[in-house]
Amino acid sequence: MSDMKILAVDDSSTMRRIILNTLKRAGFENVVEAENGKDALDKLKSENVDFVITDWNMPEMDGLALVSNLRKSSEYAKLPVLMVTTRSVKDDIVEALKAGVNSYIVKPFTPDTLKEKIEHVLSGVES
Amino acid sequence: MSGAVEKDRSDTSGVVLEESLKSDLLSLKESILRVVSNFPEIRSPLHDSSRDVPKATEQLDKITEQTEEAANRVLELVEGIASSLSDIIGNTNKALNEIRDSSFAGENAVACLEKVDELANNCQNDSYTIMDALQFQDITAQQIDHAASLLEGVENKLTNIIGQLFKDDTSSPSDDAKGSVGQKKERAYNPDAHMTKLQSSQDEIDDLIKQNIEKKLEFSSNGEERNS
Repeated sequence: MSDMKILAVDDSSTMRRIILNTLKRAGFENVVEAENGKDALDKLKSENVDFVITDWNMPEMDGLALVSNLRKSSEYAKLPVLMVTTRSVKDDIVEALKAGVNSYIVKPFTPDTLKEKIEHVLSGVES
Repeated sequence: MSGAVEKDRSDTSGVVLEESLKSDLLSLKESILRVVSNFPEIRSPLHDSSRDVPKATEQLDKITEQTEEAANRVLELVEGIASSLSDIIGNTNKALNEIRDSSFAGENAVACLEKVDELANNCQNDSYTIMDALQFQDITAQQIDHAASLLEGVENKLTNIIGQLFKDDTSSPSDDAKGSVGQKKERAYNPDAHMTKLQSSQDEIDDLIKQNIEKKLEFSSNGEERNS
């Protein structure tokens, strides 16, 4: 079991729950949730997060803006970020990589893919 | 002499042109009057349409809310099932270990318990598959949001048309439509969201990520060479 604290950001409560369950099965029990980018930034102030999994399309502040904010800050510039989204157009993927995401998964995803991407990012394969 | 004939000819053609223009303008005027006279008839359908659109978007939003609620209920039940199955698997394994460690030659019992263990594991895997399949709710919610957004665009256009056509009408029905315009839900969606039709596969995305990393490494090693 990993002690790592993961922040799961998605405006869909169903998707957050699915991600939570998938992480639990993969051995990541310590998960915090946020509904959008703004909520995520608030949660980061009070939670010592080690990894962020974020959706792209969210109201108030989308995933791309969240990542840009993180990369501009001195505190969270190196925080690993995995984007999990329905956007699968090549230009979007390139844009996300330029914004600073470490890895990218399209929905619907398999549990194995999520686990694999987290492990790749943590091992430095995708960073 | 030829100058006078030419002047007569140009006067005649000028008169003909003037008559033709008058006739065309009269005809245009009649067409415009016919169109304008139809405006009161289209006022009511326009007003009804602009009132129906918010109702349609409201219904679409209800679909999203209810499917989210239903998906979460299913998730809760499936989480419960998966948890119970974990207990069954755990207890089955305990019983199996006890039998194997004891002198009790319960071959049938062992076989039964192994079967229970296998079935419980299969059920647990199925329950996880159900959980994963519920991702459809997020994707369909985005598709519905897209449809609602298009309808709201139509609503805005109808409101503008009503406002333009009946701006001098103090009892303009557009007031009702304007009321709904100010209460729009913020919609965040991918217009191309789809369960199966992806523009790029996960393998193609992984290649892009790999290329991105290689570019960064190349850039950083070039930077190191220049600095050394």
